[in-house]
Amino acid sequence: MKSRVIILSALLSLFIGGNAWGWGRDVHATITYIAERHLTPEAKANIEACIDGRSIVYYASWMDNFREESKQWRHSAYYYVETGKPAGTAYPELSTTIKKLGNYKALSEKELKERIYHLAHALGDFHCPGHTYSQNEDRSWKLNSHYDVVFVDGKVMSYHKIWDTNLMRYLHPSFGYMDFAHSLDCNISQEYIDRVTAGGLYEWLCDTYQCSKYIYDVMKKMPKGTPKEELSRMTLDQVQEFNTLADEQILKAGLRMAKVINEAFGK
Amino acid sequence: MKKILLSIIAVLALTPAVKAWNGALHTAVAAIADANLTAEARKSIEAALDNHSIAYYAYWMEEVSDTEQYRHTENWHNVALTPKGKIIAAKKADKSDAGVVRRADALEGLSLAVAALQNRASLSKQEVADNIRFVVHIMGDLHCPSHYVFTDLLEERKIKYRYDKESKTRSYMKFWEGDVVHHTFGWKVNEFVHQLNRLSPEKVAELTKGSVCDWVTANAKVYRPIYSYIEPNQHLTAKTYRPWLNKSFEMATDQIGVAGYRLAALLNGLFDESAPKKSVK
Repeated sequence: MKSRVIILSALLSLFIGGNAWGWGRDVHATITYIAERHLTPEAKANIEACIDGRSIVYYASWMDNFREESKQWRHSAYYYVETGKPAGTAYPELSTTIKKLGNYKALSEKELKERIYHLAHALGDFHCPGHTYSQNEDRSWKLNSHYDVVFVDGKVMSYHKIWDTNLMRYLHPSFGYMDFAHSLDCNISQEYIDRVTAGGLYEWLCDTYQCSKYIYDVMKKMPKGTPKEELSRMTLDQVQEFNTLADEQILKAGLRMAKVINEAFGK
Repeated sequence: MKKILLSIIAVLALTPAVKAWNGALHTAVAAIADANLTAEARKSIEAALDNHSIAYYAYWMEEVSDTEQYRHTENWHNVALTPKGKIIAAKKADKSDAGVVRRADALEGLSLAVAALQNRASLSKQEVADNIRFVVHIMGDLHCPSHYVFTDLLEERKIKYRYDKESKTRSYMKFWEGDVVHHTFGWKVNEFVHQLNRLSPEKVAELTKGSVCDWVTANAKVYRPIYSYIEPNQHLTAKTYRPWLNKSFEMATDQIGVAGYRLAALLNGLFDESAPKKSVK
């Protein structure tokens, strides 16, 4: 747990809401909607008053959409954290956001809005299994950007892309964010909520890493450009197993986001 | 050869340049309206529609417009305006105007449908249902920027742009029918309602004040600037598309909600005795 951990939570979007890096827009919307379902009435009213009466779901992908126009958020695209030696901006930046939102009335209107958008997006990305890497074990982050696999539908794609969008879309092609949220956030106990929301941002990152690190042992590392017949092929069983992990991470992200918002805006 | 050319010209002249929001967005407008109908209005309307919601029929008018029975409605999608945003009655348009102006007769269609529903006691059930479906669809169209035909911007309506490495160009007017929203949000119908049906009663009262023509005049001011966002044959790359799209999606999405509230106000006035009446002109 306390080994060196590197979190790379990249937020570059290629085009039209389809993220090359980070959960896709539907997953981000799902996470924020789960969070919204767990807000206290007071917290919900207070945070929505800060964002022109809109739902936080509306802004779930603001960081992806406005990256090119925002100097501040564009340059925090690559997020590195090493325990005891932060090397990037993700962890400290999100920590700062959570801290600032704890005293949100002291922020300017612009900063308040952008900190809310940041929280609504980045805490989701922190829970994406494809974004939590062990630097000292196998440089597994390389697998994301340098290696291809054959997805269960026969298409060749980067391992990263599978985790960001294809996994969720393959099993639930017609789901919207409400469908996803209703499916994942049902019959969960208060004990479960208390357990997964215990601790703070650092503990949640470590939890994501621990839950997710096995995904890098599953696929054979074959560089891009390798003939399709030599690439690792994902089976339907693997898709379902991975999907279980992704579902859990989405639910945890939503519940944890609700905790942060309730603490900051529920006063 | 001459016959072939004349046929092609005839086909082009008969093809409306832009018809509507796409089906998903029309349905979203109707679903938001449905959430704002009074109980009495909903009961009467759904009885007339064989127990279907108005959202069920939001795109129906588009689907039937090519049939003989409903061909008379094919021009009921656009509205024509002067450069200053004054509404032009399409039938009074100068004959020298391009066909697109003379075909911009949405307000005439809406007026006929509303007048028919005001006197629905004399209509058959089918006629009541048809006129409800016309109102539902036209009110959606009247909140779509590409349905506003400014007489000085007819060439601009033909603007196409190219995205990245695609060989084909895309129509800017078609962009406003759906891509402007769908390329930012992947919402389903219930999600449009969740996102957009959240205005305060005071804000709704402000948006639904006045007549349909007042709403169109107000919309025209909001929509006219869209022609300044694009150059003919503009080439948008993966990097520049998103900032370009960001100028537009919020307004387009919000107008879907506005359309829903106004459609509900119009239908409530028609089907609920206790609701304020709305007029087209």
